[in-house]
Amino acid sequence: MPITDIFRHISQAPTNPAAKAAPRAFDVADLYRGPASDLEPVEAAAGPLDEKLRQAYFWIVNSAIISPHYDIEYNESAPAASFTFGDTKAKVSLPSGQSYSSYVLLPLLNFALRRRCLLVGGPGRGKTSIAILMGILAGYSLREVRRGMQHGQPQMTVADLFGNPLPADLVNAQRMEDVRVAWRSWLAMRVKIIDEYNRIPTRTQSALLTVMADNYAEMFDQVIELPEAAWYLTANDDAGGGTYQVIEALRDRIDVVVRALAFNNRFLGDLLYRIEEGIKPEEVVPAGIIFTEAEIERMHREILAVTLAPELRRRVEFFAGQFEFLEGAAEQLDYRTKDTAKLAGADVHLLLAGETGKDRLKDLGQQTRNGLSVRSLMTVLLFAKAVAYLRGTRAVALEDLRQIIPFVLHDKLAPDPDAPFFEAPGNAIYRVDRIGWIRKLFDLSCAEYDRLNLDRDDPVAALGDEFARGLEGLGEAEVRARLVKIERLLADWSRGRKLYGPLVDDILKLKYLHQRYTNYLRWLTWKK
Amino acid sequence: MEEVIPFHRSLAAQRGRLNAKFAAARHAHPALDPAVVLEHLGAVVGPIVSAVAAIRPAAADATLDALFDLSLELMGEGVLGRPATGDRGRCNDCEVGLRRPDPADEKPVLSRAKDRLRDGCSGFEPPSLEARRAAVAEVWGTLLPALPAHIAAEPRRVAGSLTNALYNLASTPGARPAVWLATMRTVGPDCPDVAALLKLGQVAAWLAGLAHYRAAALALCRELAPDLACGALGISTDDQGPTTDEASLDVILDRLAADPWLLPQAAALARPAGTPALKLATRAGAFRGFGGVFLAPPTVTWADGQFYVRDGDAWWLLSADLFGATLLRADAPIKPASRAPDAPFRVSQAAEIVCGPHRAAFPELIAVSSWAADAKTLVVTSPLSHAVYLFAVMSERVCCG
Repeated sequence: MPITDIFRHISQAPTNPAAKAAPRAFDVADLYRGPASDLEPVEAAAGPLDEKLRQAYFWIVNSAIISPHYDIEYNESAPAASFTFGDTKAKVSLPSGQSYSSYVLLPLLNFALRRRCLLVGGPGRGKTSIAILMGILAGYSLREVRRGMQHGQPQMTVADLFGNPLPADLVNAQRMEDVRVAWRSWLAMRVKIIDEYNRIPTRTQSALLTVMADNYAEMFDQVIELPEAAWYLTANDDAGGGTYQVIEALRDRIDVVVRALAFNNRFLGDLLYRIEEGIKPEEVVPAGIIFTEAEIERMHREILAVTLAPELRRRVEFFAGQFEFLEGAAEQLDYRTKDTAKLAGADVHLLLAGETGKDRLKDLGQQTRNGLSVRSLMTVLLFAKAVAYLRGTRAVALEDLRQIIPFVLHDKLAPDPDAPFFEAPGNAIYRVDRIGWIRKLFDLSCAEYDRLNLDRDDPVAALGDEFARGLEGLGEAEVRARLVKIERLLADWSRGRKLYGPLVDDILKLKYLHQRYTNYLRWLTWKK
Repeated sequence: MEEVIPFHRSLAAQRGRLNAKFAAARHAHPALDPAVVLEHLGAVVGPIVSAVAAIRPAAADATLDALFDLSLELMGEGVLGRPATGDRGRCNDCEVGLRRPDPADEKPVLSRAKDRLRDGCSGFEPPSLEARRAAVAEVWGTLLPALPAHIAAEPRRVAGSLTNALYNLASTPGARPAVWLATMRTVGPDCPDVAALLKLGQVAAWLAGLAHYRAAALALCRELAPDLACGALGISTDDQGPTTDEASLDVILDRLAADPWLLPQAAALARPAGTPALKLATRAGAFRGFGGVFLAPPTVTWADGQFYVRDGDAWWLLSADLFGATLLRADAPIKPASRAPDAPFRVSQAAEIVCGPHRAAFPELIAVSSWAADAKTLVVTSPLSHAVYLFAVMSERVCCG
């Protein structure tokens, strides 16, 4: 290929090449493959869609959104080179693997997964532009996408959002269900865009919540079921700068937060060219990267089929286990959580500060005011699978988790800025840099996991595997032996071990196993 | 004053968008010349859009949009549009250029195959970029305007697929793009839909020399309507013997599948015509310095029902039949053998080929480095040549130059 096309050209497949043996088989369909691309009708494309997703990514970064950032770094071995600049030792690594711009990658993964993405950043950073591009990727025309975009404003009513009852029905109807509603067309779209969602009044936010959370809308006893959709919400300032406070439940429904990256002024020439030539990238999206409804559905299934190895799952468990535990929150171990303190209206920071005996720098749970919800953990797993899929692999790698976790947990993990960790030399920056902080948390968690040698020596995992093989045919002697094993392990741990979050999870897992075996033993005894 | 035709109306309707697309394409390909694009639009795209508008006016705008995009893409790649030099190129078989098609190209396939046999063309000259560019221009200039119904249905798919097909044929040493073009021009308009047209193109590609498509093309013939399949194969409906009814076509295809050196028209006859004789059917490959694929005189082997040729460490899959021979890079075969169990061929100590009752000596057999055979074909290599020689028992006179 002579030159990299900027606006119309889709990156030639494979966009993430791997070494392959020369194929012996040939296909008569090869006759129609050549310099003219994107010829097959989209319905006919039967292969995995990750290549198309990558092509869409590269088209957006190369042609549409000028985002020359590679902040999601992948290295095939060690980085090609690293440099530090300035007194603050700003580190710049030149990645040796295919790396990505989070600002484009995450909205695209959100598109593939049909989840809810919040784009935050100052005005004019391209938040709305990327959301519009996602709508066009879903097969809508530019006009449809623009008409379907909802602009948050302080007077926005539920009727503005959902539609209006038919005036004739309002006059003639004898019962509420006789009032038909003219639903707004955007509700049926597979990409939904809410611009400046934090300017929507609270009551309308609640109505929006039902659509986002449960995929249906209700007015006048009329209900409309909606298709699975990728949501894009934008906010200029997500830290309370909107007209209305965003309700907690709505915030919690947001799966991933993407921050608009700064424009690199070295690319002003590209902007000038667009101005002079009247080029609007959203008007020239290549047909080859537009997904049909069936393709989006299939892509979603393919993403779910990406595997996550048990070893990696254990690391996620260990990481997630760091945050919820709060030693001073209750008497019984099960209730010693930050949620207990929060429900009681207690100050989590004070309770955390009151703990003794633990290394407060080492305890990652000291850094947050909350734990992780089940929903956020599911989102982590989904987005990790999606990024692995986009990279062309069919198994999640540790680096996939490391790169994706900060964006998913961005609004989910609330830092405690007064925690000792942030007072430590060089850590003050993490009070501001949420992405860097969460990534640091994951790195620290993995380092601790390695130190404890849990990949090789994890007695709870071994006991869990043993239990997972089933109780069918298990004799009384064996059950008693397992119970003793659990009790010995707990006794061992109770001697002088400090209580950290992951250990609490392990203890409660052992308690669970002990209870299951105890119940089984009772049944065995009764059977005799 | 120039008459306003549907093409002009489509241009006017999409002026802003098309201008923006051109500006975007030129940003990526600064060499794109506005004058050349305009000339191409007027001289090449215009007639196609007008032909489409004549049968389906509503499809004119979409056709222009798709062909404009495709044109910019192909011009950006340097395979479409006015060539940089005055030389219009010459295809590997001297058959495709920016010239009017030779009436000989319109001959039925039997005549073309006979011509090829008579002319004894080895056809392994290297294809040039100019030849490919000329082939693409021929598709746009003569084939696409002849297929307005198909273009109207799926403009990008049809125009792009046919462009790629002829480009690939023009890139394959020994293939005859003009034969493919002639078949598509004569039989293509009869195809009821795009799917049939593209199947016809695949069959025609086999008949134009892409021998590795043989098995798939024969299968596709069974999916095509009998008159289309017969049209592609050059079996006219008034020939002697079985012609266009489906059962007869099946018999013809079975015979063709069984013998790669059988002419379709001969397969349609109840009795074989002519006296079979052992012939040098064709030769394939050449020294890489002369546009071939081999760095050293190759050797041949047989495995899994196919011929494999190697020169040192590299392996090629050799496919050959009456219509051509191709060499495709391949992995090393797992269980190579000298010949198929049912191969009737032997190369005697006296440098003679023996095949059942047939026996003949050829000058190419003076020095034999290797040979392999299946039921119908003997492949011989020589330490003195970068070509492989294919022998078969055939009914027609064969002369390989």
